[in-house]
Amino acid sequence: MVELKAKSPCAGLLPLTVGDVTLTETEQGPMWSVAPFQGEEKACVAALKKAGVAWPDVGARTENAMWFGLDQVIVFADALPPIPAALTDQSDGWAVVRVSGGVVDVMARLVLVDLRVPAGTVLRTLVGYMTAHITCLEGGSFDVMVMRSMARTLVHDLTTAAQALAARGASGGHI
Amino acid sequence: MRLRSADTVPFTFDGVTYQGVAGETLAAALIANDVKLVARSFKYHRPRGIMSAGSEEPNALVAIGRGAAAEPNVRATVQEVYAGLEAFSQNAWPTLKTDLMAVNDLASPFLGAGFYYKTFMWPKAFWEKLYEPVIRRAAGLGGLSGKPDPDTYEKAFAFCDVLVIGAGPAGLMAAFVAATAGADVILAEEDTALGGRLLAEVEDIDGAPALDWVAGMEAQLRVMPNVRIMTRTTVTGAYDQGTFGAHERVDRDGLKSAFWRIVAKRSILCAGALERSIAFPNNDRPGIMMAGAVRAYVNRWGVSAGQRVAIYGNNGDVARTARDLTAAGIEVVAEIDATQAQVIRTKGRHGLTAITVEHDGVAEQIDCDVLAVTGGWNPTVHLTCHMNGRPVWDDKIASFTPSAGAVPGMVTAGACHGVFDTMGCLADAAQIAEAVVKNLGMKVVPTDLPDADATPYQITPVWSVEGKGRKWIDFQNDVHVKDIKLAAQENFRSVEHMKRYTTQGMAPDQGKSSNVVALAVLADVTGRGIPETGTTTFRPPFVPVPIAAMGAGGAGMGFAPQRFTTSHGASVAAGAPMIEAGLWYRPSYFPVDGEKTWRQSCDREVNMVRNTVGIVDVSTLGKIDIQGPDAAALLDFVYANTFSTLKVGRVRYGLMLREDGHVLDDGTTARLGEMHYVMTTTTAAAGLVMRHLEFVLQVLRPDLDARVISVTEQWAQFGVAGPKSRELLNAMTDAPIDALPYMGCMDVNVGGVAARLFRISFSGEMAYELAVPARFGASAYDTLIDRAAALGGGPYGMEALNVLRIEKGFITHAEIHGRVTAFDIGMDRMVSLKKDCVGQAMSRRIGMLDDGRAQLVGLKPVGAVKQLSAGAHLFDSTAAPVRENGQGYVTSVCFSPTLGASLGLAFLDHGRARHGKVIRMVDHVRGLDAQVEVCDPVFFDPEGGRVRG
Repeated sequence: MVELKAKSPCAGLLPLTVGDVTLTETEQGPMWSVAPFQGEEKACVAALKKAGVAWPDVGARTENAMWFGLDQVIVFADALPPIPAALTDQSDGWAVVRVSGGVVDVMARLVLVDLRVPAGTVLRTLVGYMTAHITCLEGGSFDVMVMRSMARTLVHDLTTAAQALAARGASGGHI
Repeated sequence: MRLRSADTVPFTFDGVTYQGVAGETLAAALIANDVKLVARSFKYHRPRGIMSAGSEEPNALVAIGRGAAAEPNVRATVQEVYAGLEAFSQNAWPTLKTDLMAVNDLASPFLGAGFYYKTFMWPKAFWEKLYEPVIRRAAGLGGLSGKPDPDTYEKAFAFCDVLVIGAGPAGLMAAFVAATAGADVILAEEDTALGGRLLAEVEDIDGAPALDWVAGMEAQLRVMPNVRIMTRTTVTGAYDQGTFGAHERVDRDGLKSAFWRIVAKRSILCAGALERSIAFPNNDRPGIMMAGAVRAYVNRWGVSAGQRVAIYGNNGDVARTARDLTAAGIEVVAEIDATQAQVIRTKGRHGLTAITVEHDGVAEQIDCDVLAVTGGWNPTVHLTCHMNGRPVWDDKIASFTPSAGAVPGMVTAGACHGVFDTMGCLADAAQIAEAVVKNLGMKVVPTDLPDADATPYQITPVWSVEGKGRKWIDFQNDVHVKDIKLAAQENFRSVEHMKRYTTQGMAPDQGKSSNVVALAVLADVTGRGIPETGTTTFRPPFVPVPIAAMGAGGAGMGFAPQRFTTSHGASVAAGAPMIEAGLWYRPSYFPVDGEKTWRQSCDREVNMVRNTVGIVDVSTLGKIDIQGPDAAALLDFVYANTFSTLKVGRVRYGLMLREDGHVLDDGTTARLGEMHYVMTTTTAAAGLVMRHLEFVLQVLRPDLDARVISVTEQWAQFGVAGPKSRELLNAMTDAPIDALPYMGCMDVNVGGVAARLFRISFSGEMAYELAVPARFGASAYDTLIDRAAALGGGPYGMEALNVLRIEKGFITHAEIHGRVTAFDIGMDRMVSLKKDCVGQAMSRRIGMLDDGRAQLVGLKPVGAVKQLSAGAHLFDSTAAPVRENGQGYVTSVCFSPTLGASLGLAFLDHGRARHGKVIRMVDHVRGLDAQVEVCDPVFFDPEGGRVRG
């Protein structure tokens, strides 16, 4: 009898604390990409609403859904009702690292877009050289989502940035 | 000479230990220690001293540190002193005092502007081999260590509503006005402290020392949460859409510096002004300094470059300098009004000893050790010119001021706006900043202006002085008045031509100290006014920026992300050397005890797959989930062959063309449902194919109702290949898989985990690919390896995978390298003419189906030389192996343990018609020359019996 054991993308890499920055893995649980077929957007929004999922605006995250790209959202749910959309399991494809603590200056070393945005904003951009989705959370933390295979590089880049910041010492705050 | 006592730390210059105050500039510390000679000039190796007190310094460039961490061309006027600092002079040999290259100075009549254009014309071949290396050795600045830099650098991004560049009186006022209105403000200051020119002058604001006002402003700004003050940060360039480059000197714990990209909705340039010299004979001796710098050293740093100071200038700063020096107890031996009298001679090779002044035809020698010179001030317009804006001449200040709107979103205030008195700067900045915040829709909080010095700036232009000796204009590039005259004489009269002919204002200097004087001289020579002459182009960066800072984080492995499969840990633990493929790390081979070479491991792994079962991680191949009513139509459109006819539960090999009819990629696509396919791409082209599909859906065929998303990372996928593959999988899956035919796919359960099974083969053996959700990848791989071992099998790497596919004549991107067509690889019949597809029409062009094209063939050695070589070229067996006779090239080779011979895949002219013929393979690089027989590219099991089991 075969027994397969699950392993998270950042297993063995996190948690980590560097200076006053903490990196932890966010386990998203099951997630589905939802891309409505042509002309079916309204039907999808309504069907998901019935299932308790609020459709996110472009660049936004709701309680159990996030904007993902052109005509594409992610829904965090175990299963979805049948809706006229392409539904694809994405649960295993992504590594999500929560960056909290003295975060803004760390993120400023890797992310080239303006992070002065409200909590709940989802940004598709680069983190270092990696394409990423960044979710801005309450309290100034961020969830950074990259391809699963790049988890190690993400942790490395965030750690390096935090270390360089810590090397500046207390007066690093002047920057 | 140090004027006030202070705690000091030791530092060295050219190996001699001196004492300096931590935090003061190296220039100040050298002056305190009476070091006058600090550098040799670029071209003539003239002895030079410190001239300025800021980043505009043209002379005092030094190297800091030693070994791999040494940093060349650091301005002594910017470098801060710390205990143990090691500084070295540059461009001198054997020593700074006795520099043998100073012989260049004697030859100067022959080395004027443009000399090498004329002198080294012949013979042509000598330029690269002889003249240029010799000139480069003789001229130049500091050198790099040639070793990797051990220091670290950062790059970072910042965003604000208002970027204020420069924190002098205008910058402080502008930042304060913007910040109190509620704007997010970044105040970037090149210096270590705020205050700008006020740090160097003796002035009162509101009846108290000006620095008290600066401290008060700084204290208020520091506590405002919407203000970020960045000291030691030079804004180096203005770019599109409000983006600025900025270089921050950090120098802490090996963290050298940071390169910032600052994006601002608006910017206020308060960069101040730079003092200019006067071109009088031998005006470059150590001890001849800018008057404003002399004041800065005395007033700010408490050091004096001499004890007997003469002052020479054409504006009110002559009196101001005399006042400050006298107050500091330094003897002022002469105040020379440049509009009445001229300095016509200077003495002292390694340090000024005397000057000769001519007044009404009478010459008088004056002994002095410092000459403070002021030719007026030039607004620091540089950043406003970075987007090709041209500054405007202003007669009142005899200099250029920024043209309005030169950089979108940028305004200027204070001295760089042409307002030179402190009161005027404060008022100008307040007014400008108010307009900026109003424009941003914010409400201005009225600010009371303090009372400050309002002495008007008065200047009578004096550019150059007649007399014997060279009158230096560009100290950094060793350009003097005669060079500019020569340029004009040889008809390089346009200012841009003059710049290139003489090198004036080039390179790091960017004309900071020399530009306006040079233009004035050129204007005079050509009989035009200065406004008509115009300026050259100031380019970014404003100060040199280390490439290491711009590329921070990108050295070594930081160059690109690393992608790891779920089996990575197991492969490394098994001792497999990992190779990079499309950012992924994949195992080359798995050495076992007794194997000394990769070939031994590879041969064993190939035999293992042919005889038992092998496991390989193929997760790196791109996987694209395609769904929708038009999913089949999309595939028919992007693939050369047809997929709408594929039955659910079956897999088909597909060939994808580019618009130009050449092969883009290949792979298999499985039909999971009526409206649901999963496409496989090659590892290297996964991103490319995804982009291609998006392009097709968004641009070429928006009518198609289909959605695509990558599932490459969702599934960990493993190849299970060999005669025992079915047996292995049957023992792992919850239900038997015997019914799955070749090129079929099915859902399976592995230990209760929903998985996908594809019966496809890249080895020619009966083979499967098992896909499990990636979280189970590591565990599934370990299980597969354990089960395979029990059957006499095991893991195989990229080397064996490559041999297996060459034996079968399967192509990779070594063959579909971008220049081949379906016809070339023998797959022309796959390009269906029953439907349209991307690239179909272009693949039928004349010449694309020509029998003479290089076609895919197999090669086998038949002569004495048994080795084949990828990259080798093919020739007729009797032809000379020269380019003109080339008939093709080898793309892939291997030693086949299955067939006991070397095999090759190649492209050969008329190849398919030449099976059985013997030709010549020559690898000029590796020195190989072999007779080879052309054959079908499928070497092993051409009937395909094994793959069907």
